[in-house]
Amino acid sequence: MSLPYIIAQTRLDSHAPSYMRPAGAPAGGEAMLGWALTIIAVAVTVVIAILLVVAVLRKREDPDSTTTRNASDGTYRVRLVSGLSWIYVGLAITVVILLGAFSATVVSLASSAHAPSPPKITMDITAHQWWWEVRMEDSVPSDAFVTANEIHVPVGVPVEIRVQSQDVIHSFWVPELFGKMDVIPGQINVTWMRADHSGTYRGACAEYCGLQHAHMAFAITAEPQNMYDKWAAAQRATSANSLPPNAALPPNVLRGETIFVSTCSGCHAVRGTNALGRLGPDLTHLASRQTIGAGLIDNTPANLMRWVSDAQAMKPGVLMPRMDLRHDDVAAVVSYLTTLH
Amino acid sequence: MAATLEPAVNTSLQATWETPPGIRGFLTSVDHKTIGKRYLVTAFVFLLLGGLEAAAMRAQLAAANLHLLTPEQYNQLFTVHGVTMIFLYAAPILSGFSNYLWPLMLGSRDMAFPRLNALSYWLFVGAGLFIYSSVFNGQMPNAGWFDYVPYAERAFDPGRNIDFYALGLLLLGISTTVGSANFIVTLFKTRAPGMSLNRLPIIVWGTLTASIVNLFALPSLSVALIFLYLDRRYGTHFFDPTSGGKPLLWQHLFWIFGHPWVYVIVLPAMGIVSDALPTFCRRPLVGYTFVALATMATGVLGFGVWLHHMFATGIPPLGLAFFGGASMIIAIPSAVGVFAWLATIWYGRPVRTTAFLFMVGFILLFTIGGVSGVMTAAVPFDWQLTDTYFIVAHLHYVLVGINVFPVFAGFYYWFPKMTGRMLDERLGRWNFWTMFVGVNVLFFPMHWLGLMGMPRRIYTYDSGLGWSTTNLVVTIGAYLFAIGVLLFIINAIRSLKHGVLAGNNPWDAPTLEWSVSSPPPPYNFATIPVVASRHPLWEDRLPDEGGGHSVLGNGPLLDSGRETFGITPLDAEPDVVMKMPSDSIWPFMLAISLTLTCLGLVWPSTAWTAAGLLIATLSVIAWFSPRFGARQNETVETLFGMLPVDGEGYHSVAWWGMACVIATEAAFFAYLLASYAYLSASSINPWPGASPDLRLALPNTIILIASSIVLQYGRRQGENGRPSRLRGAMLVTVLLGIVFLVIQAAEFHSRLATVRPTTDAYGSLFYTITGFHGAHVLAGLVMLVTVLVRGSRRAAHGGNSGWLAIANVTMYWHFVDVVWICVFASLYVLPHVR
Repeated sequence: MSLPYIIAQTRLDSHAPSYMRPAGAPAGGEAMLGWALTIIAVAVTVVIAILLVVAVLRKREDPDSTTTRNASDGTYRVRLVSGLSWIYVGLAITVVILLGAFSATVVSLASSAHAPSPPKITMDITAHQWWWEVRMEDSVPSDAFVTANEIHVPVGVPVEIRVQSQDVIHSFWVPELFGKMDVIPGQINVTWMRADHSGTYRGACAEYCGLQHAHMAFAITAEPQNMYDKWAAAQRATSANSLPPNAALPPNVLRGETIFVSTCSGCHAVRGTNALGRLGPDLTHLASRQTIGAGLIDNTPANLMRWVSDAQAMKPGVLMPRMDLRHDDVAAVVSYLTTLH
Repeated sequence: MAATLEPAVNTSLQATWETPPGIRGFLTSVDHKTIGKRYLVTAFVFLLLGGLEAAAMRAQLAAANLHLLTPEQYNQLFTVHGVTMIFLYAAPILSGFSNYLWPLMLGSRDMAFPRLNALSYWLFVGAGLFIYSSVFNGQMPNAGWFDYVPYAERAFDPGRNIDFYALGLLLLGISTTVGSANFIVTLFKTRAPGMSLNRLPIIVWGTLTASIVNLFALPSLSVALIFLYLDRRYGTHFFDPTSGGKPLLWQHLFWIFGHPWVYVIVLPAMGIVSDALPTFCRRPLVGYTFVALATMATGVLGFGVWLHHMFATGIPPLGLAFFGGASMIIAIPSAVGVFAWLATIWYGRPVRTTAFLFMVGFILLFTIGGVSGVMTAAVPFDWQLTDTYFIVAHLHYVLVGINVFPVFAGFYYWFPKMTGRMLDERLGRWNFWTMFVGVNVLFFPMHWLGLMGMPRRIYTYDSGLGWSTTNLVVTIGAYLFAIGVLLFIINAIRSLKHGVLAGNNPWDAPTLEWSVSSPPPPYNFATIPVVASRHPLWEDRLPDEGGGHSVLGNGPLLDSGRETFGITPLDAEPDVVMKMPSDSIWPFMLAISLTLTCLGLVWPSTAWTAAGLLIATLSVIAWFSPRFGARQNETVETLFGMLPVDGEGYHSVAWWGMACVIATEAAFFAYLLASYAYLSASSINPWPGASPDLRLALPNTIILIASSIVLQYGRRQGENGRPSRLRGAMLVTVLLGIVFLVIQAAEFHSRLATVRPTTDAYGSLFYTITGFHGAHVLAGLVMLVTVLVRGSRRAAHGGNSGWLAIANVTMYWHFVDVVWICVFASLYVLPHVR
């Protein structure tokens, strides 16, 4: 790795997923509290730093005025300032600041712990090493659907989020929308969110969960209600329905589907086919996703080729094994996968 | 102050206290100064190892998508880095200072338990080597220093990695516990006459607080580690949600230990500053009483904030608000310290030495770490901050700021005392400024990374996230900081040979350690000092400091063998003359055999484990060589009148030592029972097997209580000069104890048909808790039998040690009894009541 390369790729990017620039609730309230505390923290630090520097560098009185020397034996006595007033004043200011911080915390806690109005949508999140299973509930149970890693929500609508884990502890987090909620095996934790602006927001696992903790990202796309409805309808549809009826599929795609169902269906599901696996992400609408490997890399045919043939090389430790497929078989599978809109 | 002693006296003291040269002396020395220096050097080596691990991680993170390390390597590195810095560097380095300094500052010839001190050190080395030995099979701990389950369970982490972690930290826990007990007893019993509580240096307050905290906090970690090891090796279900366990049980136990531990590794370091800063400000510390009280208050409050590590685990808002508030309150005693130090500098006449610079740097870093800590206590904002680089920044400002910087100040300050030579000041300035700039370039931008949403513990990141430039800056800071540490090493090596000779008191400092030569003689003080003020060496210039006149150089001698004074805890009036133990190989043997036991457990090899345990037991017996001895009333004439030798009851260090053991063991069982209560309360349905039969347990309880009454009767008889009755009573106690164990075994045998330790969390808890109690009964029996068997021999040398052994065994036996009553009430009676 050459130094010029490193310098070339380091650039300030305004797209950092910062919780100090919130795009919804409860992140908005959390950020407000955060900014207030940041200002106090910086102010306290600056004041202490100035006091410290002045204390070290300030001019002292002539030592003779604070000591008395005994001429006969050469000993001297120091006149001391007690300095206790520093502690009294310092403590008083500290207590006032802390009381302010604590009050702000309690107020903020009261407003961010629960959604202001009952959530209209519920998403059930199941965390796996190292991807997110998403089930969008619906008042009509048969209209609930399952997807992975990429979630859409309507703007301005409170969403209830229920999280659970099948393996180890993870933490569900989209900095610009909501703070962390740990995902702990054996319990279902509940939180909420509301996106106030359209956009796609990066989320990531925030609790160390093993080898690929670094690659357990997801995305929440907030969009107007009508677009969300369209997305939801498309996700609900089974794969077979999403293809034009009687479409004359290219033979390569059909071959890919056959290979997929025989080789990949132990772990992956494509609704409408015989692939019913639940261990890995549901791939019914894989082609509608922006990335693969839980935010690892863009969802392009070339990347899919690499992923299907050797996922281990791209995401070491991923639970998807290295597939011993011939190159043209991989190509067939990928051409099938790219039809899964 | 000039020594008025005959040189012959010094020579005889030298002969009495000196450790012989060679490998034998090396392995057997119990001199606190030797042990202190070893602690410092060993912990510093671990600091360097932890630093190398950090350097490797910072290289990997210097730019986006680098592949210098595999994910597994990175995960092992950040885990071992945390374990090393927190357990093998931060606490032991402070033990090093405290071991070296306490007797010198307190005016004593050694710690209360010199051999325990040696054990503490050898166990620390053993635990460190044990944990690092995992590198040879490439399976270093890899689940983070916090080691959350279920990731750390065998199902997800099948290698030996976590076994090294669990057993290594258990071993280290023993080291820390005996070390803490030693500090506590030393503080209460072996100070110079007149060294009353309001005259203690603040580092003593800090280490005392840390030690008391350890006694009550460490058992929580030990319980968690034992549960983890049993889950991994024997298939129990403490943390397994499918069988009644809970992953959050680990988090509660870990952080009930973990947060107090933060104060353990900063309070003594803050003490270093409170003691050394006044020397360079040419005036006493402002607000001594406030700072001492703040130190103790921090230790107490530290037990009430553990939940702030768990704000995002789904705990109800009311609990969150409470712990958020508690976490902010703990900033108050910290503020006391900051303003006390500021005022000390403000009203002093600073001499800007390297040590002083490190302390000024510390105040600034501490402030930054403190205010960012208050930010994390604000619950809703913490939901964003937690597990991001903001926390990495915060904790490193706290630990580097409050531990490493004071430690380096301490090096510059006391190096002359330890070696007789000064560190170079010119190089020292380069050392300070490189480290100070480095630490800020390294850690300050991490706040920014956190606010920009970068999570912790990721081995790489994408280039499109806007974190790359900042990470590069952080890495540059890391290497700058490393250069700073390197400059210190160069300075230390050069100064050892070529440094300016220090003399007794190169800094014109006020405390007792500076009244003796540099380095001090093996016996510390030719005559025991008699202390009359907080600043014995500044008495002539501080009219307001009580105006005392400490006696240095011509006080009481105490030179018939290894002797020092024992004192009353509060006023420091001598009440006994203590016979101090000689050098011994047994602490080393015990440490090595326990390390072997751990190796046997991790391998696993039953033979190694058994051999290790056997040698350990024999070492303990050989070490203490308890013998049946009648009560003796030997006294000796001193400047303070006739004083008993060794004493008994709370006059003896033995009593205090046993009291510390009992305190920490009581906490251990309290955490076991609390785990039972927590899992039982979390269970929606009552546990199926959880109503044990009382038909065997009730009579068994009566048997154990009876044994205690018999032993107490015997003790009384022994006190009144009837050793044969005492002997008979001890024999009956042993028999009753054996009956208890046999009945318990029979009960286990019949219960195993329905409930096994692997059935569910209830089974795991039941057998673990009653099993640990049984093991304590067995330990008590071994003690009783050892004392009895050795009863036929006459006491070889004088003193009251035989009687003290009997008093201690009795105390221990009563304690085991009380534990059983608690266990019986919780596990046997309560389920029937509900």
